[in-house]
Amino acid sequence: MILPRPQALFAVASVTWKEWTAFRSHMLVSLFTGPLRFLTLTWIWKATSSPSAMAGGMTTDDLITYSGLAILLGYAVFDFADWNLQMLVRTGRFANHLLQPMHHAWYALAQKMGHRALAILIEAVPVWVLVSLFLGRPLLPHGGMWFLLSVGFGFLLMFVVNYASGLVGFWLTRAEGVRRCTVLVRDTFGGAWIPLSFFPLAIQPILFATPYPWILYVPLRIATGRLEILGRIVEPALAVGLQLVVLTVSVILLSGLDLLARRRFLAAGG
Amino acid sequence: MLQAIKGHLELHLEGVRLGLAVRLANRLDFAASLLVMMGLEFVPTLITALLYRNGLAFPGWSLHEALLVQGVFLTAKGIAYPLFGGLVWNTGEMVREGSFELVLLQPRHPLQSCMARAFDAEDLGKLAGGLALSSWCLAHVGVPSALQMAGFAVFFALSIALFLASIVAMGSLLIVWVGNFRVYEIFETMASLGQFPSTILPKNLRGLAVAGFPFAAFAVLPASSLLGRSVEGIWLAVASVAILLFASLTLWNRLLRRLVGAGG
Repeated sequence: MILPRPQALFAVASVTWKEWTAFRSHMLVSLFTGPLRFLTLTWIWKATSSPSAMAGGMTTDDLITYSGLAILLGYAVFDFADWNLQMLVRTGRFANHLLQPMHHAWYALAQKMGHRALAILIEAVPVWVLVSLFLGRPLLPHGGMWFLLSVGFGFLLMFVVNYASGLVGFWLTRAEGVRRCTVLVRDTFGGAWIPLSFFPLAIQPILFATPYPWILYVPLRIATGRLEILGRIVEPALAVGLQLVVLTVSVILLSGLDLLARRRFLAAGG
Repeated sequence: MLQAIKGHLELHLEGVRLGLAVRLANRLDFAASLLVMMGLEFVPTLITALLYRNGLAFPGWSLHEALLVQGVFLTAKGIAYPLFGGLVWNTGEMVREGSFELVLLQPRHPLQSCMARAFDAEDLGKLAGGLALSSWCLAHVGVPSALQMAGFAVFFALSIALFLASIVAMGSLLIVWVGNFRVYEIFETMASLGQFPSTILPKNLRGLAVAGFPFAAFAVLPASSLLGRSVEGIWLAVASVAILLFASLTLWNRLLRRLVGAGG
């Protein structure tokens, strides 16, 4: 997949930004659901845990920080490349993208950059303000540049995982059920609902052998100041390095899957 | 009158038959959706199980009691969603495509026409999951008495009524808030509070569980009845559900007048 010109990527991203502003009222729903989800989780942690004890290697404050940042990072890294690709294949409109002078994966990534930039502005930032007001302090992550780098890798890895899931649409007529399965596994194994340190130690190697924990869980634990993988404390620099390895392997596998998928594509105009 | 009731029932049964036929056209996708719809609903159960496994607990509730709340929630959802839940999606899609006007031409109330098309078999996975989880929990906490079961039946009906009110409200919103299926997310976020015992709420906010949007009515009240626990605020919850049901039906009729269409 040859890297297209940055101007082309920027053009796609800016058009996507404009397109999504038409649906800003849909995005603003997050200003209600985000803080409410945070409140629910905070109440659960406060009611069930003790401030002086740890659970899953985390204090109550860590758990609340984790939950808040999980919601915010969710807005930053979310995409629906899987649904979009399956729709294009199902309707035949994918044929139009084969005529473009850039690989559809780059096009979809540029789209993600566009709509996530808008989401950070009108979803993540306002929800961060509301959450910080509730906490009485700004919800700030630990880790500095390592955290930002980790989120960047998580952003790309989420896209790679979703795009790979979308490629299933080249094999199945109706792939919605399989797509939803993948989303469920991705979010559960990714620590979106609860930190992975709560899972039994015996199954954690299985979780970390998948790309999912490297999307959200690793950046979130860097943000809490104490990253634990398989029961061991890991330095942020090493964790980010491992993330890069996972990302590289995932991109290679995606490229192979993409080559196999395109051989199967049949369209009669779209 | 009997003839009219028979006609209504036949309409809904036909909707169920068609709904099943449509989903069974692609069995692999249906099976996957069935499992996923059930799996998604078990996330709160997973969270609860992991919490207790790590030494945490909802104050005053054992693991099986807490899971029973989620089992009851899932069972109620597994009845309400197959029967009514499709109303939201169907209404939203028809309004977005411009084909909703065809529903207005039919010799039935639009709400009934939408409900008749609403059956979605994939949500039966929730019912199966809910019954399995509830049965497993009851096997550990003890079989409820006849009185507890009678109380449960009443509160369970209240739960279904609250689901119905919520579904009608969501469908109503999609008539004017075209294509915004995040109404599901709004509802799910509010309802998620009803999947955990009300003891998670700060003491000064526990009244919210039974007033306004009484999320405790989804599952906490019915499960408490099964467990023989005291059910506080029940009359407030009943009144709130009745008001919400009336308000949602009124909202539907009001917003229907604001439907903007240009033919389908």
